[in-house]
Amino acid sequence: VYGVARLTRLCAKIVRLCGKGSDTSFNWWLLIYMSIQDSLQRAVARGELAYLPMRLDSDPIERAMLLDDEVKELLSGPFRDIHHERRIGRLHADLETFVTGGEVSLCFTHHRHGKAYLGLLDPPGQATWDIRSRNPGPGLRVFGRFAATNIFVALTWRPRSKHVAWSSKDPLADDNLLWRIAIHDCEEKWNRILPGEVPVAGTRAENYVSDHFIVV
Amino acid sequence: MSQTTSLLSNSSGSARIPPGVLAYLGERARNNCYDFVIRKFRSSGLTKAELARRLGKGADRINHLLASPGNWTVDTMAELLAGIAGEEFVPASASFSGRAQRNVTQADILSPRRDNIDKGGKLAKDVRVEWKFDAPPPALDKIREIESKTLKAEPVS
Repeated sequence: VYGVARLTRLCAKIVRLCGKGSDTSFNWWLLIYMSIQDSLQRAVARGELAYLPMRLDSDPIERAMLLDDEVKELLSGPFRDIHHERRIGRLHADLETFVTGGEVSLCFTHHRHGKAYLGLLDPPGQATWDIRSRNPGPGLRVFGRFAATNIFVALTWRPRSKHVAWSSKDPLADDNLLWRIAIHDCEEKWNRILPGEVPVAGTRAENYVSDHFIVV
Repeated sequence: MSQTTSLLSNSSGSARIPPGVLAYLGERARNNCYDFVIRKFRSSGLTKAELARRLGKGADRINHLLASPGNWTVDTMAELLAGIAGEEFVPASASFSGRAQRNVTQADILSPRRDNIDKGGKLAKDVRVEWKFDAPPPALDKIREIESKTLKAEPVS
């Protein structure tokens, strides 16, 4: 039974990789979903991923965000000064918007994300997105991938345009190499935490978030 | 979990609210405004071009405004609501205390059998109706069908 289950999961992944997910029957789709769900739960149990802590326990939860250690540490502090604490407070609110099912704007056009909340990064085949916390400047970018519809895995972060006093991380600016390194970092962490799992890809917004979104 | 809730509920008197909490609430308010306007825009059935014409702004500007609340001011809110729904922006606030606690966790989102996931997603509806734990995957059905045909075709020795 274990062998058959493994084989069917493997086949389902191959079908998904071939981009024929929409043509498969419901049971196959569910097998893929279950596999990723299991992997995420195992990663949480191992302490490699953690759910975004919600500051108010009355807020609704419509989506899930899982954090790698690096992003978790960014949010939890300790904070160096008042500016650091304020900036992270705003970032936290921006990330919570995703989880509470707030309206999010998605942009699929590389290098033209403008003010979108989520931007698909180049190359699109990497299926890596950045959540863009823009207020106040310098903005922060949280990189991650969608494990399934409404489930975002945040893996790394960078300052966008300028150094921030409370971190030694280099800002991305418009340096292609630094963007590529960040995307590669993201991919490496994904493969380490969720080996063999395939992130959501493609240009159908509904595959990423089921509702309350606007494509810009 | 509810560190901020307790901090806010203890914020009466002269106790200082931490700056990180204030910044969090500021951004949250901004995001709530955005959420409110975008939901109005979606239910209005207006296109971005129509809204641009109504407000006398360029399509690019409207696209920027609807993409994020980054540079929104109270004026922006008022203009957008007037253009989208012909409504006035009337502020309201609510106490943090006395709110009902949620009964859903993010871990529940990972579960395909969660009952309230089908608000917008197709998955849960399908799961409830069609998923049977003991049903074999379709590939196995096919294999069994082929096997049974092959067995029938073989002559009995």
